Amino acid sequence: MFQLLKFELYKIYKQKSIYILFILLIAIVSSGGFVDRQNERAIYQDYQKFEGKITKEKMAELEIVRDEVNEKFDNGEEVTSEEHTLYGISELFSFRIARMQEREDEIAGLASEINNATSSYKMKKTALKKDMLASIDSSQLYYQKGPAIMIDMIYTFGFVITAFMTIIGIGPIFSKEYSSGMDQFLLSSKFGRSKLVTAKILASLLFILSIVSAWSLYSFAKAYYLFGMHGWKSSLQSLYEFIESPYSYNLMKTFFAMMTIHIIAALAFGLITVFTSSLSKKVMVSILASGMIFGIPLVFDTLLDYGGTTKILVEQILNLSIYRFMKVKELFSGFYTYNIFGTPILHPIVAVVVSVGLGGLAWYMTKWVMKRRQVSI
Amino acid sequence: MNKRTDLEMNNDNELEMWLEEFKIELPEEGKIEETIAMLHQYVPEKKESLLTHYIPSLLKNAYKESIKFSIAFWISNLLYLIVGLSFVLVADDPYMALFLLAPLPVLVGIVDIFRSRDEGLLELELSLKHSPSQIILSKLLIIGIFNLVCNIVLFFIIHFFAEPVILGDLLRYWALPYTVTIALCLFLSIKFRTIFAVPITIAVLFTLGMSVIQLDSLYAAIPDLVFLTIFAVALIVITLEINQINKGVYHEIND
Amino acid sequence: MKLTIDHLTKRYGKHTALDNFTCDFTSGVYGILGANGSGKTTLMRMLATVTTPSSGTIQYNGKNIFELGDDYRDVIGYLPQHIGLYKNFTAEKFLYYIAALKGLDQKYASLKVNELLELVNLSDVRKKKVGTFSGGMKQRIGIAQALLNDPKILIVDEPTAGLDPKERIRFRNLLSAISGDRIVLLSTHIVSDIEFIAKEILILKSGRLLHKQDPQKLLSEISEKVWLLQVSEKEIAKYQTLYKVGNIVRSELGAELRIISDERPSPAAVLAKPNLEDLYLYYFEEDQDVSAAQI
Repeated sequence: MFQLLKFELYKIYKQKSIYILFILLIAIVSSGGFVDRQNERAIYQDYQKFEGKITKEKMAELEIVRDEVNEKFDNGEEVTSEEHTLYGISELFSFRIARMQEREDEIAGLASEINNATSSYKMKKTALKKDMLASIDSSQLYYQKGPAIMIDMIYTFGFVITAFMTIIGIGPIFSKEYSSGMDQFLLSSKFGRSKLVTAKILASLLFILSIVSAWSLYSFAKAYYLFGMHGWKSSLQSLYEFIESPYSYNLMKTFFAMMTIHIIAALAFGLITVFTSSLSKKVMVSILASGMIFGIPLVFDTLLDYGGTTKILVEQILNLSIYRFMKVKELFSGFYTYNIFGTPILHPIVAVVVSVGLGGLAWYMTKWVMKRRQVSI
Repeated sequence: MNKRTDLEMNNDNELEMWLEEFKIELPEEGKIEETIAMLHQYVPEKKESLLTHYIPSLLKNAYKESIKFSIAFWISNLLYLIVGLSFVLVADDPYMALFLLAPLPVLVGIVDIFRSRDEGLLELELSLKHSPSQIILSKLLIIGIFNLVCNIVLFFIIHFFAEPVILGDLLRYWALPYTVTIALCLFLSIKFRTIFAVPITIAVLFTLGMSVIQLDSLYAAIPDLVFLTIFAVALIVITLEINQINKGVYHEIND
Repeated sequence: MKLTIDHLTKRYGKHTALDNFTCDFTSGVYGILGANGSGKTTLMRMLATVTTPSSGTIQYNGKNIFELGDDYRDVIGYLPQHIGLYKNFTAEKFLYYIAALKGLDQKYASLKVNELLELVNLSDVRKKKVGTFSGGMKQRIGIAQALLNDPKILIVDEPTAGLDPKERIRFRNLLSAISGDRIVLLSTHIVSDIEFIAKEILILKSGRLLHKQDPQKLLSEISEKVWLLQVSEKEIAKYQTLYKVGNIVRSELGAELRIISDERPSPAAVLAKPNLEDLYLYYFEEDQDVSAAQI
């Protein structure tokens, strides 16, 4: 088995196409805004005085700076970069406090909703949300640009890189055998219909893990180099896209949770790709099929704005797509549950279960297909 | 019966001599040629209708080739029109829709174009009348024109039913991704197999699209001149690649 | 060691590729003779479990091969008609890959790979990519991979099509050398492949088994049906339309025709000793390409 696995890995990594694609994608991803490292270092210095819990003393200090800056504005004077940063921090403080208050109000509102709940499911769901919101502590401020970039990478480009590399790298895994004529040797050999299939599947999974590692490493290097690795303790809600998130995670926990779910979903997608490959006699068809499984939700997600009722339907379908699972962001950005036998189950948990289920099914189906595969004229 | 009188023989000879005068010799080859040459200039020329005179052979060839395209190509183009239309009308940002969807039919067409090479018909085609490069180029022409027409139709619809089309935006969101992706795809197709060139290009296109969405404000801020330059470069690259195809440098097949 | 085939049939839609094929095989070389489309490849594929039958069974030592599955495939070696290979693999690597597929352990595989590369004379190109191989070399690598697991049943489908005469002879000798204690099934439409080495010859036509006999007996059945006739150049065409004509040897005197016919084609014709080529022509229609049966 180990021998077979080695060979299958060799066949995957021998494809030139994956290297070309990876380089092109990383090149696109790298072309972002320019960051002034010196400047960022200075900003971090300024932050350090105010990091940690938001206190009245800190707020008072910042008030003074605010007034000074406002005065300078009125007089048309230049503002120093330190003042600029501190002004920003003070804004953040106010925003945070306002947000915390909003949350308190929301919790209170939810509490009364529980009493008026019409069904036991609704009651449980509201109770869950209330508990989750209550356990959030977003009273601490940190300079967290580094972690923010790493988390951001997952759902902006990371998942896309994983998906495209999987489609191109693993799409041909069975189809190539059919189109090259090698299937005749494989299907007539002892392990061709059994162990070989397992070897191919394992090789695909390892390949996906290597891809995720590769871009994670890239994003780590970029974040570390540009912003440093500070602020992992910051709450999830400190990230703009997750302001409304009910999950009481800090950035470190968020990162691990998201990466774990992304990897599980990616592996499931990989298994689905292997399955479609086993069905397609032509490489192009295989790539097209798995491309559409990922690509169609991608196009819908990117191009449509969700407003009207029909689009909500689209959104509901999208929420259960492997695309969404791999993207991860929407799983944590809001409160969404599914009604499973009267109990509210959170979206991320459903995502994991569905991914594992789909992946397992794909694995089983692939083995089933290969057991019965015939070479026809 | 066999004996002939002297008189009869004399008559025969006379007859023969008399008939000699009327004998027409077959003229020499040379003279025949000369005559033909002389008369040739008086042969009326076949009147070419004005139109066909201007259409280069490439286009004529293209017309013939268009018949050979797979049904998949025509269907995908039609689908593109319909789908693209709905997206463009319904989408948040019709320009983004154009960005992502516009080059797709051409890319799919490129698979068709290089089909003969990929499927190993190359050797055979090289020995036929129209060189493969001619065939490939004509196919490229058809796909290009057809798709351009589809796109222009889409523009008009956007213009009248959605928002007025601004040239600058058109450049950024349509012309640029269109030409850049085609340039990339042709490059990869020439150097490698189309099976991978097309999916890779589509992957790059989508990633670029998402990148643009992310950095929307940044993208909009980049001056038109930069875009024009990139657009021009892409066109030049495409021309170079077409040249390469013409020279027949596309059978560098690396597997 | 016995392979039993019982009423084996394969249908592709309306077309029946193999029709009610029944026979037994024990150790030795069997030649399966038939024109293109006669069902040879379909039979080979089913024997290699690469295709499944529409009806009928194939049993190895009493057990259905499709139920035996991997255990059956463990004892077979298959050389398909159209060989597709990974172009970027070296000869050596390719054999190691197949060895892994056949479940051979590393040490044994190493031994066998070296031994077989020697046997098929590809040792000096073992590090070369198979994509650069000529047709004959590809065929040889094909045979090498089929022998890796020392198979009890060797299934070889039209191995010499596309090989030059020298390679064909080499192949024939190779087969003789390895035919030992195995069942070797060789399908071909090139008669000389099996002329001297086959224990029995099977004649397949349009998916049906016409004959299964020892070659000598088959030849004796047409012993009075092969004629040699000297004709003039102009008469050749006439005889070709009236009779099955095999070899045509031209000389200054005209041509010597080898005619296969139940009755004497002409008073001047003399009986000739039949060979397998004649046998082939006897069973297959005139419109089959005559040259295909020639060496």
